[in-house]
Amino acid sequence: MIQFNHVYKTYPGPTHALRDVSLEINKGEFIFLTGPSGAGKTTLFRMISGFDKPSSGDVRIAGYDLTRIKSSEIPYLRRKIGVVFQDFRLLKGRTVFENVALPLEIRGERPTQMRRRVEEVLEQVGLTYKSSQFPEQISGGEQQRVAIARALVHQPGVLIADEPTGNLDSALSEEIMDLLEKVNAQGTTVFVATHDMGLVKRRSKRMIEIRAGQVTIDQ
Amino acid sequence: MSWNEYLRSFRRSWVHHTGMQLATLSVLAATFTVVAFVLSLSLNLKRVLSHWGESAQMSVYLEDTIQAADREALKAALEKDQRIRSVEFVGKEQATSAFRQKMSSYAPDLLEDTEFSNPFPASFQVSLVPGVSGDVLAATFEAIAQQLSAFKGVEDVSYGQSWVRNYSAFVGALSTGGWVIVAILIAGSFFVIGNSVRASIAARRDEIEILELVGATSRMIRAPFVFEGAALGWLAAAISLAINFGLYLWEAKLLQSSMAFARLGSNLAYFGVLACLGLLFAGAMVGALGAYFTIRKINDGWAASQKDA
Repeated sequence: MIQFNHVYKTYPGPTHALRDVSLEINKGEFIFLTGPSGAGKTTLFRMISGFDKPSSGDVRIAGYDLTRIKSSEIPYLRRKIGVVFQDFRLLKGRTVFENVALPLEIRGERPTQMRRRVEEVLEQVGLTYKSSQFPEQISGGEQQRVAIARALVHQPGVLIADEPTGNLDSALSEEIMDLLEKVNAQGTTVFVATHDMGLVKRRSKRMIEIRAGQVTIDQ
Repeated sequence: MSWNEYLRSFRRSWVHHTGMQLATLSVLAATFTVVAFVLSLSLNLKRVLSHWGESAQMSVYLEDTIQAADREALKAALEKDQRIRSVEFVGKEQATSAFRQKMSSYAPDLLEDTEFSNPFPASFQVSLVPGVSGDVLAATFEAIAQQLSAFKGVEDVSYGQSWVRNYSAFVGALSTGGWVIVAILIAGSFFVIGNSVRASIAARRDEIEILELVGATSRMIRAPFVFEGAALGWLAAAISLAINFGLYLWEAKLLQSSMAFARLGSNLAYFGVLACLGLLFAGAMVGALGAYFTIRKINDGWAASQKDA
């Protein structure tokens, strides 16, 4: 599903964000990506979501070779991935329903199918009753659940979540992690970046630790 | 995306960015108002000057020895010319009599002076058809005069050459100047619009990033912004036309009441239906192009990446 082979990423400066990173993530896995701030977690996630390219090495995501991908193919790569951010990134001018429906709208789904699927996902994240509200009218935890619903609505093979609990208290964090595990149980590969080691230990899943751009632990 | 979705996106944008949209619309409307005002001013000045130009006449003086057949041939040629509205023959006696009448207040004895010899030649008084543009009036008269010089019995052709030439040069300069001003204003309005739309789009950068994130193609992201630019441009053009129409009504009323002697009011006109439609279309195009060039710089598929890198 996701393959990194001897990947390097250097930004002007030069800053070596990733150094010789090799890893393989299979379909249906649940992985935690940990490491201190500035270790390269976000760079890794940006590559997976098609927002960055490696300086050298091979990256393959859901059948796309990132070193050879054309700009016009990138939107189609992103449609195979669901992304959740720490700051939710919801559209303020759209209701919960409209935010969740966005990926389906972009794929040109029929309104009836879109409605059915959005209602299904909103039920899955427990937000059916908030569907007509705007992001600013709901809590942080609810906003994150909307972001997860949006990342799942088009049934992607991979869900990546960059610090999805970073803005939430511990009770809400556990709730979000439960939800991600539920998603994983349904067959979606889930890749979560976090620096909350307590959360990682409680879940006993595969953990990849990255420090100074290098993979130091993969267990 | 369908037209309904573009309209929904436009409405949403107005609901959630009301202040910014109003500011953009105001700047656009103000710019278009100035452009439309200059165009309207140029149009009306040309109409007034054309009206004055229509009163210009040409006198074709005939030799005393001209044969009747030559005179008739000349008259027929003048009447056949599409550029000429009327041809009036003024005989020697008629010219003298008109002169005496005109001078009677200065020299009353002239009317009874039997020894006053007749120095006036017979002539044709020629008026041009209405609608000859002021800037080509001199050229038209010159061309006719040159043709007439080939006729037998024509002594001289006079049309107030220096006045007509100066008048034509003035109208020509005014017309060119008007277009130069309009071109400068349109070029300036592109910058103004570009900046307004850039500010509007930059404020919605998050929206562009999110759309990229969920897999929207560049075309999908740009289309609603371009539609919005076109709609804003169209609205601004409609507002500017309404403002200019109000100004036109006010000017017409003012000229009819305060400057009735100049009879300018009846020569004033507003843009015709086609011109109005053309200006609305131009407004929409300017808005769409301004938005397109701005969004093209921001939405290159990597907006979110650039922000965080």
